[in-house]
Amino acid sequence: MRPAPQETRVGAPADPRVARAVSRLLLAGLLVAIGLMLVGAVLAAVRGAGSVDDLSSITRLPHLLASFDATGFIDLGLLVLLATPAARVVALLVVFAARRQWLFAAVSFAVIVILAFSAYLGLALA
Amino acid sequence: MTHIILLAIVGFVGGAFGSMVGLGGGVFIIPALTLFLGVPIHAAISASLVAVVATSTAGSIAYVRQELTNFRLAVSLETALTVGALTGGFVGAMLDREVLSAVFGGVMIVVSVYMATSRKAAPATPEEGADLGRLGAGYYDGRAGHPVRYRVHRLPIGLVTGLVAGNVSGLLGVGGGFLTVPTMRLVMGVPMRAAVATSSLMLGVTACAGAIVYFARGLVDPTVAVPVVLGVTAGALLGSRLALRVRSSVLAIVLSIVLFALSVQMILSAAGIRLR
Repeated sequence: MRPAPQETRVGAPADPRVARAVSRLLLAGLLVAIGLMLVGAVLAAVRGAGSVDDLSSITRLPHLLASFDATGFIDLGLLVLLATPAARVVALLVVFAARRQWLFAAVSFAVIVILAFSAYLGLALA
Repeated sequence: MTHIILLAIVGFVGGAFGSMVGLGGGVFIIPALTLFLGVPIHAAISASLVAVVATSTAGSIAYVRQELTNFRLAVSLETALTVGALTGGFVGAMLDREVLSAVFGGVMIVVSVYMATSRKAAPATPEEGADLGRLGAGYYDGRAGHPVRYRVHRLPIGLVTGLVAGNVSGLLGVGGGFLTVPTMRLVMGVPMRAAVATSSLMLGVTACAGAIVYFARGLVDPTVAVPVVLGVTAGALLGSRLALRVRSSVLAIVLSIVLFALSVQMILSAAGIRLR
């Protein structure tokens, strides 16, 4: 029989509920991302060669999606995929804060700030 | 169509092997794309970064569910990894192909030698009820059939290594797991399975920081990235489940041989010598 999770000094067990929730979050993000990419791939196949742009374009994404463009769905799928690890960090921030583990909540917040800064710099250079 | 299938196969192999040993698969994907499929190095790097996110996400689903992943250690090291990846992403977009190929080949030789030679004994398990510290954790090792508990040592060294690994990740389009797994295992006292699982989770955030820069700058080629991502996802889902049953040391030796051969080709390619 599987033993109970191990307690640490700060009272932070490897909570099976948290593990399951994070695992489901990752699975959901992955499935949505793959689904969007497949929709884009099917649209590209239907419309023939040359219907997918060679390079991603975050600034044209809303326009591409509105016109049901294959590149738009593929780019949105890639964005959802990239957002999934960030969403996982946000989820852990909430867990740490709920448990009053402020040090790890602050560390999680710092990671989110760095990711946001990375996105800002990338957009500024786009 | 054949080209797309080959891209997916490259992703599948990279994702399967990568997720089994705690790597993102980029160390296999980039040379395979550039050397055998003729993908430009910058397109290969950006596709690899996105693929590493997919490997991490797909691989971590099983590891997290098995409670092998140390969340507190992961977010602690991610601070250094993301800072390193951010700076590496900008430097990588400015360097030319030869420099990147030479650096990547050199790094891969180090990885392959490490994977082939690392045989450090497992750290001692603290007694029942012992203080595991802020970062210590435990899990149930299904293959060994008993619970494993561990403390985490030398966090500052882990953070410095994380900074370097993140920088290399953004620079070369790999996950950085080839640095974080050995550091956690050999320096910080984290058992192999927990190191692989924790590294697998961290790689997603590390690669994400670099990939966002490439994506926002319009440097991701969907015609390359999507087939690779689809292949990587299938490979990582399979690899992470196999890792719980197969001895990772055997796979590490096989992968090290492949990586060593590819790294030699990358360095020769950087020097203008083509073997094919």
